[in-house]
Amino acid sequence: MLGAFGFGLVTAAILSVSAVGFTLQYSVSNVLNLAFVSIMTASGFVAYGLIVVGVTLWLAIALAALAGGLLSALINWGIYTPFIRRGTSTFGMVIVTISTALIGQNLIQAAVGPGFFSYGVVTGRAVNLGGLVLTADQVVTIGVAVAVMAATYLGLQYTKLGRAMRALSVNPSLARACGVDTGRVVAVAWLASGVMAGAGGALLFLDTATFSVTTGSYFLIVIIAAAVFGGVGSAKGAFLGAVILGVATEVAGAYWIPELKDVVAFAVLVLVLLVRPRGLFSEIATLRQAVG
Amino acid sequence: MNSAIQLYATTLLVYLAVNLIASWALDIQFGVTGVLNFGFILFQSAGAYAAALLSLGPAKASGGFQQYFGGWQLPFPLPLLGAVAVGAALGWLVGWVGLRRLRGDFQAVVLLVVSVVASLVVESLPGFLNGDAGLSLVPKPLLGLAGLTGVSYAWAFVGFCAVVCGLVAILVARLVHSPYGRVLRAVRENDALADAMGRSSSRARMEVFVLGGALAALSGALLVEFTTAWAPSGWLYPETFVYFTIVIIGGRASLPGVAVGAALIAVGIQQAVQLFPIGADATVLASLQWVVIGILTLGFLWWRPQGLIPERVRRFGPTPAGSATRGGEVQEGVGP
Amino acid sequence: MTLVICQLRWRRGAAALGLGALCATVAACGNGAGSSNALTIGIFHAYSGPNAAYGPEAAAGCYPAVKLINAAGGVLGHTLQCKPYDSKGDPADAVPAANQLIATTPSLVGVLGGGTSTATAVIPIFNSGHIPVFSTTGQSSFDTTTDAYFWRILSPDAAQGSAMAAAAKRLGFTRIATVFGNDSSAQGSAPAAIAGVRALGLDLVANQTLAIDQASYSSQVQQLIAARPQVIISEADPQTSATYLSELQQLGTLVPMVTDPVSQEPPWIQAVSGVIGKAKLQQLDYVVTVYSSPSTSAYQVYTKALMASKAQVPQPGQWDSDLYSVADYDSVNIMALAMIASHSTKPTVFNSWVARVTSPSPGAEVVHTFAAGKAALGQGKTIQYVGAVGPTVFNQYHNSGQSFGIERSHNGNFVLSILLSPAEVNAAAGQ
Repeated sequence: MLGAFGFGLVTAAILSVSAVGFTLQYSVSNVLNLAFVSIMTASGFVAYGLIVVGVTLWLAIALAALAGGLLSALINWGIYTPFIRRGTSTFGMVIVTISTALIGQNLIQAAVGPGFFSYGVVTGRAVNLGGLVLTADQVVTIGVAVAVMAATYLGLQYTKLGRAMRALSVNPSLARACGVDTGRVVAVAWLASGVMAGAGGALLFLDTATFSVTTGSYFLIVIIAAAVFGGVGSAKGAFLGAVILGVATEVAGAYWIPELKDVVAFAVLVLVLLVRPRGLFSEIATLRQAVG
Repeated sequence: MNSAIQLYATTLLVYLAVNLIASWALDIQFGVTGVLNFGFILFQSAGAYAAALLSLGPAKASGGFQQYFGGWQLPFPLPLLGAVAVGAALGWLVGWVGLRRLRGDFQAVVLLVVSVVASLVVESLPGFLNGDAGLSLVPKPLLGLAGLTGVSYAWAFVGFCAVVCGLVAILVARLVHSPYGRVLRAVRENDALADAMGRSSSRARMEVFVLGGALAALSGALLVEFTTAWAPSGWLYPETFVYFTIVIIGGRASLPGVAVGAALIAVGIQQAVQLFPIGADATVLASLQWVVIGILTLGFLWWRPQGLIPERVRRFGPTPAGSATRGGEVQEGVGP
Repeated sequence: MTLVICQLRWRRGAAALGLGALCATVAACGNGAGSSNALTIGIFHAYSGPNAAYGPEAAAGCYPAVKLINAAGGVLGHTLQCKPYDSKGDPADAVPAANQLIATTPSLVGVLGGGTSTATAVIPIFNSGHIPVFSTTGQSSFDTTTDAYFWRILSPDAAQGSAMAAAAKRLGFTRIATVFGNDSSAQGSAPAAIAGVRALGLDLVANQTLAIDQASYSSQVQQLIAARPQVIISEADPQTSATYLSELQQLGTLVPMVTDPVSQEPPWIQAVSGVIGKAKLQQLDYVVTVYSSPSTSAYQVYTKALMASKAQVPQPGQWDSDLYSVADYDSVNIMALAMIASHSTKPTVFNSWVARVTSPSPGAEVVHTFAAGKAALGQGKTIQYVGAVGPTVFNQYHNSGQSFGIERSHNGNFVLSILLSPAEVNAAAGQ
């Protein structure tokens, strides 16, 4: 069953990039962005378009990640920020973001149609890494995820901007009082989150080999599950949640009913909600509620 | 009118009744109490499946054409009542897990996930509710009774739906304008305050979850008894969002507003779509329909968040609270 | 109450209109319908949602047929036209849409439609509206239907499943794995395929149901590899098949596949050849399908008309070997010939002639096109229309079975390699 473990690692890699991006932006901006998956899908199709015109695979994926960042920043600037300035509650914002998600998803569908697409990368020879059978593309995918995670960790921990983000996520008013340029920090968070969404989407499409507009939608379940599992708003928690869920769903699929693989993620989510609703690592969700 | 037009008209009226019931059910949760049930469509679906299972009879009897668990053949009103019970029970179960002390927006998303996972389970286990193909050949209740068939039966069904819809309207109006309705609105406006006043906001949320679930299930049950079929493609999670749009456009917590809003969305969008003869671009049109819905929601939230017919906000003046309540109730109950 | 205002959920398909709007639509309908004496064939299929390919697929049959019929002078002084209608592939959407189609289209004389997911809900509506409906549904509940206006040219899913099992035997495989998607179309043929493998005494080494469109199927793939099958009998949608096969190639080796006509459709070929390569796919895939000889004149006339219908059918080339498109082309021709034979464009009259213009009888002239049929009928002859899918002989339940064949891809074209006899298929069906 080592093979299942190998696939689990690939799933975990893609999931961690996506879930950390999702959570990072949430903790900084306090907006639960349901259009995240639309950004993933849009970026995946950007990568597809670039590959069709002859750009090499990994360059196309990198450019798609950038496109995701731009799109994310644009959505924040054009739609979310005006609503927040109006004083829309977090409660109202989730309706704004799901409207945006619906618009985005269907605009993409109108553009590309209902068909199936493929990057046209024929599965290469598999390599055997200590019992794990992985293709070269899958190894690179895992590498990209590790690099993104490391960059995120170092950035949050050691740069001024990262410290500002963390301050903002714990106590926005205090951060503002200490001279943090909130608007700029939030804008950067949206950009970074979008880049991760873009990378996650393009990598997901590479992993599924064939994709359509709806390929990303089931991924929302696991992203949410990973985010809640690790603790709402905690980037570290989201990463651990992603790794555990990514591997757990594949391995559980191998031993249990394979059709219900995604349901495993859901079962974990329910369990966490019942036992420890704040997630394993975070206090933010409840703290924010108290602060208002 | 020829029979084709009459059949079409009755279809529209039945769908009207079904959607009024469902929209009001969501309005109790979202509009009045402020619970973001992003898994709403699941409850309508549960009602439809329940009513189907309670009227289809055992799967073996239909020649193995479809697979499902259980299967009973109960006389007419029982499948509907069973569906209501299933909706309420599911509301309790989902509420028990989903309404945990999570922030409101995450709560909403967890409920969204619940509805996505539910359809995943149904599609993945073909022996449970016949998978992707869904349940079909659900018998129409009392067909042929007193010589009712075809057009006459359709009109009788419309009449029955109108009665059910009227009863639901009375129930919902009473509830909203009762003292209990004020508790619900207090929960929406400031749940900490509601708690401080001695009303448990989490209990109130749970109660509207159960009631809304029951009514949503009723709407699904009526629908399946009319269409005779129900499949996962009919309750994809964006369908929930249509009801949210209806409530937002009509006016949250405003029962006539919700009804009118739905009418405007339905007729407006549909006429716009009718202007285009479909052809190779049909898929594009179907997508753009959702885009319009999303834009309308954003537009209303931006320009007119109170909706077309805003909720009446009662102010406590020198008049005794009781008489004012009754006055408001009569007015809104009659509707425009 | 507020019931005075007539509203509907717009999401429930193309039907949600107020009553006032309904009247307006009825009045305006004549304008939209093109020339005033045109008879309308409704294309009632999903144009959106998961089965959004069904609509364009049927349109690729309707438009070429109508083009040829009108070029041959039309039917009893009328021209024909196709009218696409989106059923959204969902019964709750399709019911009002079907009612609207009938109510707002006085010139409606026939319908191509009722895909597998909507058939049981909408076919009774067309039947009670006395509109002949040529369905491509595979559902077995229609095997013995008494709906007089229901017609099914292609064999039901179950027959397809039996034929796939028979094909595996004919190809000499003994260790069989079945891998089917959990969508309604695949699940229609899966039970018969599995039963067929057992009935033929073959060894069923693995039996898998795939939740469609997942990111990975590694656990099922490993189970399959461990079972060491010689062949996979499979039906699944493009994304599922592609993901599964790409992982099979990665973790083990690909084995020959016996697949259904879905694997002749462009999206499937694109998706799967995108991950395992065109050459591998051609080498391994055995498609079991209703056999229609591409060399018949009927088929050649169809493809020529299809290619000339670019305006209504984008990229027509993708449908030229699509079984459902071909069947819908035949359906329109059969309806038109039935009208001429019965001297009436009224569905209540010509419906009963559908079986008569297709059944073999002594002295009947075999015709392969509408034009030839019209000419023969004009000379007072009886005819048997043998269209692009081959002979169509309806039984008492308005079902028609065909012979199945195993087709191989050859430079992008599918050619027959083995014809299965009815006895072989019946043996797999346990008869």
